[in-house]
Amino acid sequence: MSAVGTQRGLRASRRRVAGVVPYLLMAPAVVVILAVLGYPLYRLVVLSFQHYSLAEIISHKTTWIGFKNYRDIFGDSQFWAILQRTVEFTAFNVALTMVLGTLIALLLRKVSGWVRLLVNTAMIFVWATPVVVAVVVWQWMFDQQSGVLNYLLAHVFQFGGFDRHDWFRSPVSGFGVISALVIWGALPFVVITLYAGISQVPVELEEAARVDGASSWRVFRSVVYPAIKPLVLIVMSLSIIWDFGVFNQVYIMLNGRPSSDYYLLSVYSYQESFGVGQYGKGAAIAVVIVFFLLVAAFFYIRQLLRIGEVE
Amino acid sequence: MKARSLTVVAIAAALGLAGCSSGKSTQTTTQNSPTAATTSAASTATTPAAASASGDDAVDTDAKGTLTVWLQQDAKTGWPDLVASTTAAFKKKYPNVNVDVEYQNWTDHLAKFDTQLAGGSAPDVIEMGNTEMAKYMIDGAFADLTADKGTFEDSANWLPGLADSGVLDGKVFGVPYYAASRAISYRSDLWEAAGASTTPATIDDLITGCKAVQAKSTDKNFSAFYIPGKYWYMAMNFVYGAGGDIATSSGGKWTADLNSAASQKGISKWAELVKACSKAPVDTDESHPNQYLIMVKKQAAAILDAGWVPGAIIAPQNDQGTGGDPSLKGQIATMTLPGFEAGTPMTAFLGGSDLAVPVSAKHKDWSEAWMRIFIDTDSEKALVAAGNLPNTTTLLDAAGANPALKPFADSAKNSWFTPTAKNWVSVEKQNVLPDMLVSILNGQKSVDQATKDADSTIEQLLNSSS
Repeated sequence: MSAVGTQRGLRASRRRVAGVVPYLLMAPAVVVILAVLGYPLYRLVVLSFQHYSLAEIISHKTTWIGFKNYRDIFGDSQFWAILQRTVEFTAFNVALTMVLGTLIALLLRKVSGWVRLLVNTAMIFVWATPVVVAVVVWQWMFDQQSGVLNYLLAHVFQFGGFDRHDWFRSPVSGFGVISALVIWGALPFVVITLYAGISQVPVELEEAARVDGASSWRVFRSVVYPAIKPLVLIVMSLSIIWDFGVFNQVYIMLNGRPSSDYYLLSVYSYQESFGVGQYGKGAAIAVVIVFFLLVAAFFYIRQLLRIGEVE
Repeated sequence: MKARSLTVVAIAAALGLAGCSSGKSTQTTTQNSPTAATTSAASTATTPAAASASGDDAVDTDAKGTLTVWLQQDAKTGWPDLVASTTAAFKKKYPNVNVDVEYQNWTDHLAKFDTQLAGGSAPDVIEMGNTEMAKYMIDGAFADLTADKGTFEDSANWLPGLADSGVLDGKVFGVPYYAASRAISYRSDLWEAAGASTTPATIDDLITGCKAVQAKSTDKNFSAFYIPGKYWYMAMNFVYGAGGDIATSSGGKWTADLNSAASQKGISKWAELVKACSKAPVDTDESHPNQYLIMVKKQAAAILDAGWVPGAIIAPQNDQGTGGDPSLKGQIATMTLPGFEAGTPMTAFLGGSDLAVPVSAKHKDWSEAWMRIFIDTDSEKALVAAGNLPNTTTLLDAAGANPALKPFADSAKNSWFTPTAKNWVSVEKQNVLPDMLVSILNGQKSVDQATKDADSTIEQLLNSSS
């Protein structure tokens, strides 16, 4: 075989290998994801079409009941109230997370280097705090009898009404605390991501806009925002996905005994399954959650694809 | 190319995100207990009655395998020696059977039990709270022990209020492990200084007394009688003490009874006591925080709690920071919660634990042999020494001879129990009773309105078919 022929053969086989290699490299991840997430998801959907409670667990026999679990939950006014509460909770938290996140990211550009370092460090610490630990710390801070917040409000700032104030007496105030915790935990990722995006906006563009007499708001809307829009959409989709599935912040904060006023879809699903032993119904509620998350994930994926096309 | 591989990753990521949040709510995989601990069988047996009670001293060397026992953390902290000596005595008969004792938490042991049942790896012996038994017995989770009841020592004198929680349709599915009733632990120094009666004949006498104690203190966090608003077991003592009921069953249909005149009288009196003498948060329950810690902090002059509490209040600080204050020694006394009529104590909730053998257990005889030793007369004496009430009336009378335990033993004789409905657990999980009490104490609802609303929720839940 001539040297030229060998080279041509090598190139061809390299091309063939190159076609297979990416799939081979992805295979382990795909296999793991299918085994760890795909199968449970499949089981969840199957479960949602069965009557599955303690008796079935013990006898290892299940009854297929078609859409009865779904008919039951859709016919239950409590479900609709919880769904509405969950959507409102998500909308409120995502909106506030995005607005605060953008403002802090913009601020980071203006401050001096050491302040930026300080803020970034603080945010990394928040990010690194496990959710369970964060919930317990917040629980202490908002404790009715010995919480630091009531102490500060009542004894340092002299708002007597906050002495032994019960933050969880009304669900509105209780969800306020929970939202604050959720937003606090979500901000670092949003701020750091958006700041990375904003710092890519060419300074000349902004200066040009200012020379043309644009206000700060106009500069943001017409120059900065278009540049970071793809990032904003991605971060927002992720926030929706996270906030819609919030569980620990409610369940642990209320000592594992949330009143029904505090049920979000995730908590409701858990209580129906493990609290009351109606695993089929709990699964149907979880499938509804998955459906909502897939909608949010759709926008997330679409945005990822668009970024891929641009490159 | 790049865009296509990105699609796969993105879809995988989306599945991952969706799977995460759904898996969290309905995972059915089995998991190992993080607190699993194997008790060593090194210590010597201290229960000579065990072998004779089983009626068979023959050593069975052919039996090989592992016996898995689920006990609550209480045993690990309160009476670990009893667990070890039981296992040691068990090993004398079954030298080749390993005993694996795993300690559980009340909050999640049933969720874990469910998943283990589904996975086919349930324990061979399980401790169940007496209020947790009904649903599992009705659904057939436990082996029928009726024929072997006689092999358990002194089972003819089992405490009726406790043993009944393990019986369904005349069949025994659970054997009584220990009982717990609540009585008042109080600061004798403070009550005497205020001139309050330490032997109140009626609940009104008690309220008069605690008001005097309350008046002596200027600390606005101090409660003469600390009663958290969600402490529904206590409120229900008043309901039953006044002749009321939570719910009664007739012909398979449940009727809630909280709105009856007697039940309302009980709840109103409880609310009167709370308002007169308690500065406890309305929105907390008796275990967050543990009530005795409020006594240790000297912010309460009385609490209604279990028999181990007087000892815990004066215990030295331990390494977990949950000890008491030894300087209070000699200042903690106990009394029974007085009732509406002089001479009749308030009806008390009888708590406690049963032991049961899940139907999936492969060697029922091993399970029973271990249980026979763990709840025999000598073992029960050790449980009493740890501040519990025993499982027989014989031993209860003996426990009553101890003045510190007498109020607890007395209240166990006149007790009430949660409705034995299959769906009762739904009423507990939905916090129907605590929410009702909170709405009354907050003034959001009148007693009449709150009990009426609770009744309709309870009837709906108890009579639901699913």
